[in-house]
Amino acid sequence: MYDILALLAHGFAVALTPVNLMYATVGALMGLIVGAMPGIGSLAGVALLLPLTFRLEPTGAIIMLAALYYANMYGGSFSAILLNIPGDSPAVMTAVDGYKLTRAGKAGKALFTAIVASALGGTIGIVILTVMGPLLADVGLRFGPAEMAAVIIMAFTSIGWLLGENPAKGGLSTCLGLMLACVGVDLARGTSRFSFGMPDLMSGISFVPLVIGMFGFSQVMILLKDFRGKGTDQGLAALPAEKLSIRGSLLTGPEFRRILPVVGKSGLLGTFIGVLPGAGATMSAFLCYILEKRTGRNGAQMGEGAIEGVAAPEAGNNAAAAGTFAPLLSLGIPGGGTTAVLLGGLMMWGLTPGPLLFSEKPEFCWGLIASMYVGNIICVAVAIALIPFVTNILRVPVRIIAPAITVVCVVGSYSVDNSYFDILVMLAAGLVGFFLTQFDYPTAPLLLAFVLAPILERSANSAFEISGGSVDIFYQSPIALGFLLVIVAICVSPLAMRAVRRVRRAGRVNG
Amino acid sequence: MKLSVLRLAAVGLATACLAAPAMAFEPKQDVDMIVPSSAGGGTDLNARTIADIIKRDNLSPVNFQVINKPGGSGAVAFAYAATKSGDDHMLVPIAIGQIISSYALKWDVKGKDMTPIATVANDEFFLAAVKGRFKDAKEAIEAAKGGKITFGSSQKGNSDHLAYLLLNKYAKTNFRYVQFGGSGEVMSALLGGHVDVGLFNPSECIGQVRAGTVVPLASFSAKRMPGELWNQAPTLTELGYPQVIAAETRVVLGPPNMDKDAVAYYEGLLRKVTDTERWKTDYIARNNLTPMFLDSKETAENLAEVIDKRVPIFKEAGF
Amino acid sequence: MRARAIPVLIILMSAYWFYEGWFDYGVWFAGAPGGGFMPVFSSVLAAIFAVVMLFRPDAVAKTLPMSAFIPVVMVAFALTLSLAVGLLPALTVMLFAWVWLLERYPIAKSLFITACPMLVVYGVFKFWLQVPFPNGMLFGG
Repeated sequence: MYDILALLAHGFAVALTPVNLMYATVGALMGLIVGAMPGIGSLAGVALLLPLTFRLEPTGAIIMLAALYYANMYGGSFSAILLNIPGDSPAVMTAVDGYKLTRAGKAGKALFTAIVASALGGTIGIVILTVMGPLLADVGLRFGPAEMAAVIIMAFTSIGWLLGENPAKGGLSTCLGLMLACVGVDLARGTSRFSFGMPDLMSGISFVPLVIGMFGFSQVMILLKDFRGKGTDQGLAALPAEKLSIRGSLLTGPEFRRILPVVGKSGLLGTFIGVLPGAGATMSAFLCYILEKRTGRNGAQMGEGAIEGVAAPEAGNNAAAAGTFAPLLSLGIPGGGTTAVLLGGLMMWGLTPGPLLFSEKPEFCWGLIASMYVGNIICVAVAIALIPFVTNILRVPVRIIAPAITVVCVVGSYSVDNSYFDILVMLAAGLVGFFLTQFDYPTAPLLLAFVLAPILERSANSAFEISGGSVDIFYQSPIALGFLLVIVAICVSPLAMRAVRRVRRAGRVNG
Repeated sequence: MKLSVLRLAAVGLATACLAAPAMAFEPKQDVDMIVPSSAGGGTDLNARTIADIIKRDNLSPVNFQVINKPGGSGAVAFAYAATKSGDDHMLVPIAIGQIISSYALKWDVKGKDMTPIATVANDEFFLAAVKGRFKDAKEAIEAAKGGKITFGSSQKGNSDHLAYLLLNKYAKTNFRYVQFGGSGEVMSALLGGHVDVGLFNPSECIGQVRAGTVVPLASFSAKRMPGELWNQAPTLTELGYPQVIAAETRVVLGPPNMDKDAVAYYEGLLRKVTDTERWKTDYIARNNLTPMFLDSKETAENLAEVIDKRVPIFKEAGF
Repeated sequence: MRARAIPVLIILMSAYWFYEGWFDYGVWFAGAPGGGFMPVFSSVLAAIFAVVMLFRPDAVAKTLPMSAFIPVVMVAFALTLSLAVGLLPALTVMLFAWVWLLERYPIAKSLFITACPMLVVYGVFKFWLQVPFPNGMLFGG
């Protein structure tokens, strides 16, 4: 422990040099912008910035890129809360409650909650990374395909809590997500399925245009439906000026106490998910939301505009972003797309990521970890200072903001893969999302199923390839078996509870 | 689109009538480098390095602009290139794996439709295992005949899969192919003991190899890779399987029907790029690649060799 | 009546998914779940839920004003135009037309309203992030 503190202190000495502070600030600012713009996520942001950093000294360069990476998670929530367009896929769940809060005139509160939760969740992730990074990475290694398949199946059982009032509608929406997720690669043969002869569909429907369409574009359609012809200059939310100031956005003591346990739970779960191979910030945000909805005191109100619904996914995705650094730094294994790009960057700066990195380049590793603490504080400061400016967008009349959002949706969808086709995906998803919401079908289960199904299919497929087609692999691994037992418990417990209650009631009547 | 084809045809006709055969090609507008994968990957880095060297060393009067078209694991870029048939201001830097995929996965536009320009680098393949799992490659190959040894690799239908099929066929092994989402996931599974061996490029496993946790057992190249980390691993040719040769060769293609003079121009330009000191130190050495340059004719021959002799193995395996 | 449209469409879609999954991709392949497993599984489940919804259409048929489809028409127009002039100019034209003709802002104000978001888009996406937007046929596509 003392060792770690000494090393961390050394790291702070590196991170707090004026030059590195500047890099962290620049990275945080760019990350906020890139994150808030739909379409361009952390992956593209880091990849585009990477070539410019080859001439910098490696520690400074990675401090900047890492700051960009996690600042993205903050930026993504801005547009999700204000405009219902998740700027980045991990912000999908933030939009659900965040935008409802905005329409209720509480945009400032929602933003502030998102920022505080992001900071605290991220810090939890970084503390865990500092204290037990290598250990965490080893735990991640224990999760092979069979274990991952069990985890995802468990996540699927939790989808039930997202379904809303009418389970048949939620179920239908989930299945639609599953069917859409089938488009793409047929893992068993390697060829494509449901691609209808179009090259653009051969590796599946892109998630980001789908999200932009389902949330942002369908939202524009709803706005036009509701506001058009009224001839008013009304904004998205009728807001008194004081609500938009920083002071009006601050959380009150009770509110703060409400989100604190949420952040704690989500931070832990998020960090763990970030470490798992093939999972990431998006999945983490979903699962933290569901966990909170299931176990939180205010779970019933989530989905209708509760600050817990903003805090849980935001803490979860920032924690996951920190968690992915554990396998990257201690083993040289990228946990996701963005960290894979960072790994490429390490090589270009002449470093060799791997188990030796901590002993060979301690000032680099600890400097980076320390800078993540510092960077988080910078992100909070910058993001809070931006609240009064960005909330002004809500006063712009809907008649102006709707066409402007349309432009951003189109540009954002194109920019993901530089593809016209993705604009069409966005349009189609917008229409589908519009009709679904008009007939009270929830869209969140659709998106969650769409995110989880490919990971499940891939893991299960690899597990069967390892075992040669035998199901033994799922119960011979203690971890997988454990998860499967939990799944059974989850499924059986409501029935058991009902039975117990019936017996008790019967007993009471008789007695 | 039609307009520009017409215009190009007109320009082509005019050049054919007016120009003397010796007239050399010079790009007249910015050249698009269509990268068939997303930003940040190996092919993207290759393309951006080429573009950057051309710009900084002033090797061409125009800019080379990198455009990522990652859809369909490369099929979108090929389909796009096919619509630009005869365009002399477009290059497609690509890994040979995607050319193999165009056949194995039956894309509409295939590798041979494109115009080969040059081969610029070679990324070797190594069979690797956790230290102590196998004494050497021979032991792994013997063990794999029992059909219980798993082989971690990436998606089916590309060069990793080809290397696997070649190994199974000629070394008479019976490795079980296990596909993962990317080399990071393969490494996780290897270190976690979920698979027995894995297929890696040097840059994907150098950290583990240096730490001694993972050992390269054998290489799929024709010659041993230099460097003390790698030269201990025998080639599969040395082990008696000369047909088992595979690598992630980095090739630059042009769209279908590219003008001959243009091909010559880009070929010369790429030769100059690969001769620069920056290419050798900053790109080749740092990414643990093997330097390699083939001109358009040799590249065409090499591609034909791979496509005609090795790719049919997918059909034998039931693809 | 309209509330039944969604289940009916999903039943049609799941029928196709089921057919392809069962006959083309295979539910079981080489001793393990094949490429058709997920399509068949999800389509059967979808069909069950859809049938439930067919017999329990709870939502009152809503009237959907045509104004909701303005954005779709506008984007379709911009995409068509972009083939000729490129994506960003086409979007600029679309935005201006929308604000000026549809929302009936005065021309000067319309120009200003168009300029603001387009400046952000040009600045961030085109110049900073260097997204290669298509140029269209007129400008050397």
